[in-house]
Amino acid sequence: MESSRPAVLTASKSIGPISPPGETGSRIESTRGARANERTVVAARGVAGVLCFLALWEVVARYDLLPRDVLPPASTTLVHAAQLLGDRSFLGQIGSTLWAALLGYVLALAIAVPAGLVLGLSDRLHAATATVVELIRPLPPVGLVPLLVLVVGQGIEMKAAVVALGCVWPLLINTIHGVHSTDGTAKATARSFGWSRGTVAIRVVWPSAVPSVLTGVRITVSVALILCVGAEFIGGSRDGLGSWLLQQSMLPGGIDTVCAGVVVAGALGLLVNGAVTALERRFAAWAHREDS
Amino acid sequence: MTTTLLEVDDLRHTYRTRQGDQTVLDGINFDVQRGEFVSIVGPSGCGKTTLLRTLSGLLRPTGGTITLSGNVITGVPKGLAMVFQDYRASLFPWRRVGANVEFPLLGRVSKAERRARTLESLSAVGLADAADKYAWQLSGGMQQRVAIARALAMRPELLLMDEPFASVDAQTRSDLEDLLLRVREQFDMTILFVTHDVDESVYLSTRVLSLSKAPTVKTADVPVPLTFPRDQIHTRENPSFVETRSEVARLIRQASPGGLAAAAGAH
Repeated sequence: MESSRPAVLTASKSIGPISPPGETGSRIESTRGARANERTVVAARGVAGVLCFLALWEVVARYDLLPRDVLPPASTTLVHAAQLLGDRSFLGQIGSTLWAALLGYVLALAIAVPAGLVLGLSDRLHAATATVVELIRPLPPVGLVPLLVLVVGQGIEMKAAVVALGCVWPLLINTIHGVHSTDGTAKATARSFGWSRGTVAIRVVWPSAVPSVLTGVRITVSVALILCVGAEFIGGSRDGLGSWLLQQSMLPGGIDTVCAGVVVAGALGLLVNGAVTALERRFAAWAHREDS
Repeated sequence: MTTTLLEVDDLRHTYRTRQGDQTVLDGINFDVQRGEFVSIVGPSGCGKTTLLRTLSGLLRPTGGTITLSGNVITGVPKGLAMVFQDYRASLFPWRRVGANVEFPLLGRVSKAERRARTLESLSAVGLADAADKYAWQLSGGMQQRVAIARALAMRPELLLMDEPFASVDAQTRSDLEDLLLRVREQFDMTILFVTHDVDESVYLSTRVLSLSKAPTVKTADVPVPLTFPRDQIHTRENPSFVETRSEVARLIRQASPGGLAAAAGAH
């Protein structure tokens, strides 16, 4: 059973170290209980990995393999991170970052998914827009920060715009890919029901594309957080996790606080990733089936 | 007393390709009466699929007319259901078996009616217990039975079947053939069945049409002088079966210079 899923394991590892893989290998003979059991094993391995990592960190810091003022020990950092979670002003900064990221992300989804459906269904429109898309797509969103600051200022609009610019393309491309991968016979079957092209698009093409759209979501949600923090750094925002980290790093002994902040940010990414995995399990389990 | 359900009149289709025009259907004529089971056989690449696509309204022919219950077909007509060879792609993997069967009825009949028809159709193919499974959890033969149940739920006047049993093993195939004959009785259906298997065409049908290779014309119209119910052992050893089978096979060989073996081997 293990041998049939290495690709999935690597894919999810690259995103979050202890994220359980999506529902793969749901074999006919395996019951719900067996599958849950399998998940527990995977989760246990993830936890073991984290513990090893923390132990290594602790050793490296305690024995001064790296200078103490660059890397505080894991134990100190974790305690510090826990304290931060009780700190109202810190939570406010996190909230500000999350809010901006969410706004930008919703914007990206609202543009990419409908556009991806239309471009996926119409070869002509796809051909007409492909070059423009390929021209804009490689622009690094963080590189656009100075321009955006001039246009919309240093506030939430700028952060949301950076997030949207960074997330819209992978979402668009995954949506188009999902639409294109709809089976021809499935579409012919739906048309043979006497359905119009629009009905076929809603009832067959969209559900077929959902797993691919969710793959796009999985790739981009963590990117959204990274971009938002990056935009706060570079754009000189007044609030948000990025500007908070920047301020803390300038204080004496601030590196401990920065490390704790980074740990909290990482945990946040993990939570978001878990939410996406749950979504995939709910809406795209069928795409990971093993045909009999 | 028979009435005509389907009339195909001088049906032509030419694909425009970069290599030039390619005529696949070159004037096909035939009728199907209500209650008939008509099989269409022909050599490999004879345009059977093109013919079915035009009949189902998925492809507009470049010439000729198709009339179903007195109405000329211009798009997908009402009263028609189709069963494809590729059951795996034809059943929607994100919907459970029951939801697949009622899918074509969405927005057309009431929820209660949908439920009733789904149960009735699934029972007719012996899969009443499988409604809550996903199709991909079932064997190939069972999946094709689900596809048949879905077609039954649509209560079609005409059921089109495109080599529906070509992808299952021999035993499953015999079972599916008998199941099809049973539900045809039960639901009083008219069936147009495309196959490349001569034995199957004779075993199932009341009439066999044979087609030439492309550009395709009808080469023969052979009535099958066998009564129903049919039986895999007794029908197949009946002299009339053997005779009809040989006649159809001969017609196909004449229509395809490579011989029957070559035609069958290509599949």
